[in-house]
Amino acid sequence: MTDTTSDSAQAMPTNAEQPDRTGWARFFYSIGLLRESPAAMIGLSLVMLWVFIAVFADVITVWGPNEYDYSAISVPPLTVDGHWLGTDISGRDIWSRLAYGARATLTVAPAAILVCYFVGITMGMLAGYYGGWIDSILISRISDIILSFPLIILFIIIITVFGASALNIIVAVTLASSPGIGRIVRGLTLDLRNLEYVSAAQIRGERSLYIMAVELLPNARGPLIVDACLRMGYTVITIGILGFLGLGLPPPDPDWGGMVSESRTMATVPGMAYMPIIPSIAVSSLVIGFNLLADGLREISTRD
Amino acid sequence: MAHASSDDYVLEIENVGISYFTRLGEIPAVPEFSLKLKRGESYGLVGESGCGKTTVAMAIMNYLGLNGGIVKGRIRFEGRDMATMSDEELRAVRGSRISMVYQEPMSALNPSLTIGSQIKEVLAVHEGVSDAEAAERSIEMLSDVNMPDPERVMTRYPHQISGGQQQRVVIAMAMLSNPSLLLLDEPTTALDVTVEATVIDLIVQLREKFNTTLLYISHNLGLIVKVCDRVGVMYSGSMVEEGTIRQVFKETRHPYTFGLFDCIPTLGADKHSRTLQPIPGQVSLPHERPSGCSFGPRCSYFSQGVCDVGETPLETVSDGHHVRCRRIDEIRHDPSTVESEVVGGHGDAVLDVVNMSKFYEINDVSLASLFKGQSRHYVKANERISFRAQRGRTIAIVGESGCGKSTFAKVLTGLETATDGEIMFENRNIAAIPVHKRNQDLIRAMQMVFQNPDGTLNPSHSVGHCIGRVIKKFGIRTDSKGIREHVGEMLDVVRLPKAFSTRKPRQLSGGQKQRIAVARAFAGNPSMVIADEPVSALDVSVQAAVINLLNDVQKRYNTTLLFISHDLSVVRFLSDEIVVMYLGEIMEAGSSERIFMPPYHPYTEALLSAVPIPDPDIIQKRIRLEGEMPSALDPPGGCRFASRCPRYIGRICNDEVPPDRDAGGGHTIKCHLPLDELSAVEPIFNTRDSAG
Amino acid sequence: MALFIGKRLLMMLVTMFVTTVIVFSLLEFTPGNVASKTLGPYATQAQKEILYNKLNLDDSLVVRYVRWISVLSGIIKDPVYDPDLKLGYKDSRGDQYFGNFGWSLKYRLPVNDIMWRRLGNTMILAGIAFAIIVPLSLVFGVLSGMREGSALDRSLSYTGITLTSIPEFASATFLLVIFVLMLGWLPGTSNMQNFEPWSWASQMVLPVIVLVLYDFGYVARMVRGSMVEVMTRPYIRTAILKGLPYRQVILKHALRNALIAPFTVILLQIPFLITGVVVTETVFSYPGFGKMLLEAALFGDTALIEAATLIAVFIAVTTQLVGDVGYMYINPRIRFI
Repeated sequence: MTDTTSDSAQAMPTNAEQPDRTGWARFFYSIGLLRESPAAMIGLSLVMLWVFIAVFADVITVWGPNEYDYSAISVPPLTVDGHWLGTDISGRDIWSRLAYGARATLTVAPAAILVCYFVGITMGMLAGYYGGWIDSILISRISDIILSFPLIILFIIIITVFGASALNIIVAVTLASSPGIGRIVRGLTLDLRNLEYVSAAQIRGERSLYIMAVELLPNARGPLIVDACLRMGYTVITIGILGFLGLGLPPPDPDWGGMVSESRTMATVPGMAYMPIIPSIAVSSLVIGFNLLADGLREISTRD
Repeated sequence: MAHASSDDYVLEIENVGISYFTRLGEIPAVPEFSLKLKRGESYGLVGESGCGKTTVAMAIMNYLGLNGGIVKGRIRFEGRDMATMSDEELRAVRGSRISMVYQEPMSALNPSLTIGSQIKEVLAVHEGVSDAEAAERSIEMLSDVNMPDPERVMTRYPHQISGGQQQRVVIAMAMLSNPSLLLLDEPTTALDVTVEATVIDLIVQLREKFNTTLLYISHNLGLIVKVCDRVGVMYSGSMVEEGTIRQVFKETRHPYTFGLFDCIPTLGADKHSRTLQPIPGQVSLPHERPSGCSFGPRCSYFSQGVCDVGETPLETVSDGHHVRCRRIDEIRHDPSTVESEVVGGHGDAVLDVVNMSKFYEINDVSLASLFKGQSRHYVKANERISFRAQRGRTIAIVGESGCGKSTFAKVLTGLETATDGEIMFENRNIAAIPVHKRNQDLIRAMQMVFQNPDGTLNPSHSVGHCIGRVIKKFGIRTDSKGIREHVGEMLDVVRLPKAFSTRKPRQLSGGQKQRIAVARAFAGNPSMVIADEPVSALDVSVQAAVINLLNDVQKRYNTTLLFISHDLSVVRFLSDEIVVMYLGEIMEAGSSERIFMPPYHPYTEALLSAVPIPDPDIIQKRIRLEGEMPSALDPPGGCRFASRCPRYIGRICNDEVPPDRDAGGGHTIKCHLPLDELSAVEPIFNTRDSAG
Repeated sequence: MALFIGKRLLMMLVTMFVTTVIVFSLLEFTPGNVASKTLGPYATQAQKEILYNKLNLDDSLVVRYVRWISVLSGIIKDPVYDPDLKLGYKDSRGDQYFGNFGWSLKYRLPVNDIMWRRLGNTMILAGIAFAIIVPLSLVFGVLSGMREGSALDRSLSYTGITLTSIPEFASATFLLVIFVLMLGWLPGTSNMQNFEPWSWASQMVLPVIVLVLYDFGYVARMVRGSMVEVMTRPYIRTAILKGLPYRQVILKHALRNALIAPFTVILLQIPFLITGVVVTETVFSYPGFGKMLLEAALFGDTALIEAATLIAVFIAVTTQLVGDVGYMYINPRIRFI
């Protein structure tokens, strides 16, 4: 994917000796490359840890997330059997709420990202490939308007008007993120559009849809994977913020931002500070995971 | 011990080894290299990409980056070892005693500083002069490099001047503190041939004026002849032959050097009188060099047990002529000649272009145009293009960048539609039919090979997919087995192993990618193939192979080849007919031989005069063009070439479109000068009497 | 140049117009809603009906939109101030003037009486944060981008990633625990009711740190990226091989080009800080614009949401305009003559 103009004669033979990798082999090879970057490995482990917790939430918890244990109210971590992360002021198990919160976050965030990418890639490809009025009026102007809209305000309005639900969070994230993705895809498409293999496809009469899907999109995947990873992190933050502001998943479903919000006055109460700290660490570690992973992926993709 | 030689030699490179340290370990880019430059001499270092010539230049500057370094030997500049200098001393030498001129002038200049401030700082840093004095001397130097209007240029930004002028700025900056050594790293590679000629003239002129020692690095043997006294040929990090221009060019001894000469097309011969002999294989990687002679694996004189054992020493064959070859006394070189009959030329016309024009409309939204009320401008990319191409022939379209040759290709292939005129292709007028409205047969009948090997293949798809898609798309074969077979056949045609069909483009060399591109273009058996600068991005040894391939494949399928190029030597070799374009119009058209002989169109004459010829015995008449090519936005009304024409006759050139004068045999010249005046000129090329 | 600015101004107007349409249609789509929202939850049915007629809420959305814009631009009187309604709403500026945003239900004041004061508070907070973030990220970004892969570069890189990954509510929690609970140095809320200088300053510390932590890493990484990219450019090699001192290579040749790309990003931190401080303000009960907006939204205070949104979008588009013009000015390659 990188350009090797000056030293191509020198660089090529090594490449020729690289075995040809396709599909999964290529995927695992890329994961293998990550091992060279310790930060990326930390990122990957953090993400995998939370994915594991989310998937097996009902296996690894004793209490339900909304179950009240009136015998153990506000117990700190590691003091009472069965509540190893303690309980909140209503006696709910923090570990269980954390695990089910992970499940909620890691369901809503990827779903939102998928929808965003579908919309964003479509917009960006159309704008970049066709240019002209489709680009300037239909897509770039609309994107500009949405992008100049302060994000948080956009979220607040959407959620207050349409109500708090997973679906509305996805709608809000899509509306907020797809113009940005569209812009990236548009830029990538503009770079690629003038390459000769695209002209070759045009000259042999390929349809525009074929050119966009087969000739352009596969070559834009590198930067898009990195971006998606970053955006996962930001979406996790967004979901957290919405929860914190009381605009997230409707209670009593556990949600990390909501957990911090409910207990935030405890931050300055001696002996109770663990209540907001634990979910804060949870959300931060997941986002750090995604961002470190993105950074490592970027390093690998620019190096080879 | 002080070296007595230090006075005579400006630069002494003694057994220097240069390595880069990467993830893969140490890469010996230059294993061992020696070079001595006498004061005032001009030395040419020639070699293909990746042979280490730029690395040597950077090592001289002691600028090898964080991962590069000199691992052995010494580089002495004016008697001082560059490696032992402190940062302070190094700074004092750089830009002052040794200066450098780079390949890409646009990127070598800082885009956000004015040219004035970039030039002046050289004097401010090295001589601590006042701003006023620095400005004065900078302007003086800009005049010395023949920069028009130097005061104004001082206040401009790099993007506001042309490429040729940018290179003049870089040269002025380098010469400002009168260095004793000037390194020139491919200084004209990014420039058009007529601009290149003026920059080369300038370098020669400055050298005479300031008596600067030059190290001229280039891949182009023709330029070395013009600029240098001595030349060194590098291959894979080491010097293989060294001597005076005459020794190396006329008494060539090393197999690589004459290999180079054999694969360069020359103006005296075409495909019917000689063949190009590409050097087989490719340069071995620095860390995979064979033992013994590094050229061994590609050498036709390779002898086992002789060439692959131990270090090959550099031997002196005559005074100052050194050759690194063990079999030097056994081998003699004789260039091949062939006689093949001229084919085609009587067939039906595949393509007939009549008065085709392509204008782009630009809506000018500046305030000035609003006041004038004229907000519509036309870029006249092609105007009044007429010519005919017969089946099986090769027609070349020649011109410098901006002459409209690529636009013409776009109109032919239907990526753009013509504004006016007719394009009869296979008996249909396709001028106004964009590609998505053309039927399958029409599309199949015209395919294209592109310039840039790195862009021509989709990096995500395998070679097999890339060729197979054409076969499937055009319905040549429909079943997957049939397609696979046909892909194999096409790979055979372009002389690549069938196993290549599973490879991805990144696993191929530049030449191999171009072969695949040729296979792709011919896979649908088209009646015409357009090749847009197909070899200009390739090294000469690879270039020859692709040219031969195009020639063979074209013969095999009796395809009409429309060859777009700026390289007159390649064009002379490959094409039957030539069309010369300037600023969107055809200036001259005719058979290959006739174009290279008088009568010439004044523009063709200038072009031919600018072509670098790798032969010290050929003298070219010197015709240089003044100024810049005008913008294609509202171009001159009469003759497009009038503003720069050395044979300009008067108002008529500005006001009236010149007639197409018929010089016989289908040779036409668009000029106001009468034919007898055009004929009454000396040929551009003359052979020197080489008695001595 | 003038034409360019003119075009951008026009774009700005279009954006503002589209914003008013979207916000109005989202919030006031159902007229019944509007009546009860305007009167609050304790209104009688009679009051609602009077208002319903008074405001002609039977009219189509378009007509109501035009009427709302007319009130806003001072062309007609705002009907809610009509004494016949006996609502007791009063605006010291009168009931017909330019910029009449209506009555805030939540704060029981004219919108203009509450919004500007809150905006002022937020600007102080955002201004201090901005004044710290910009020089800090420039210095660290340039220093680490100067030598890619150096120890400073690596540590800054990972610090930046970590800091931008911690959402404001989390970093606020950590800071509260450390500085308020454990060390007891600072107050836990910043309601700004005590105007004594020392108390004022100590209340500002934590909100400012939260904003700086969250934003600094992002901006610094942008600057670093741009710097790294510039340092690989051939013209830097030219400058070094001209024999310039390293300092001059960096300050004169690299810096200028390296700041072109992050310029817009830096400027865009202004609208981000002003409208994005909702979380920080909420955590520290800081009486700012964001907290006001959130409360208005949760309460259903339509007039105030509309007003605040308009102002926020206005700030955003104005910054963009300034950014575009400034970008043209600092980048000679696109400067118009």
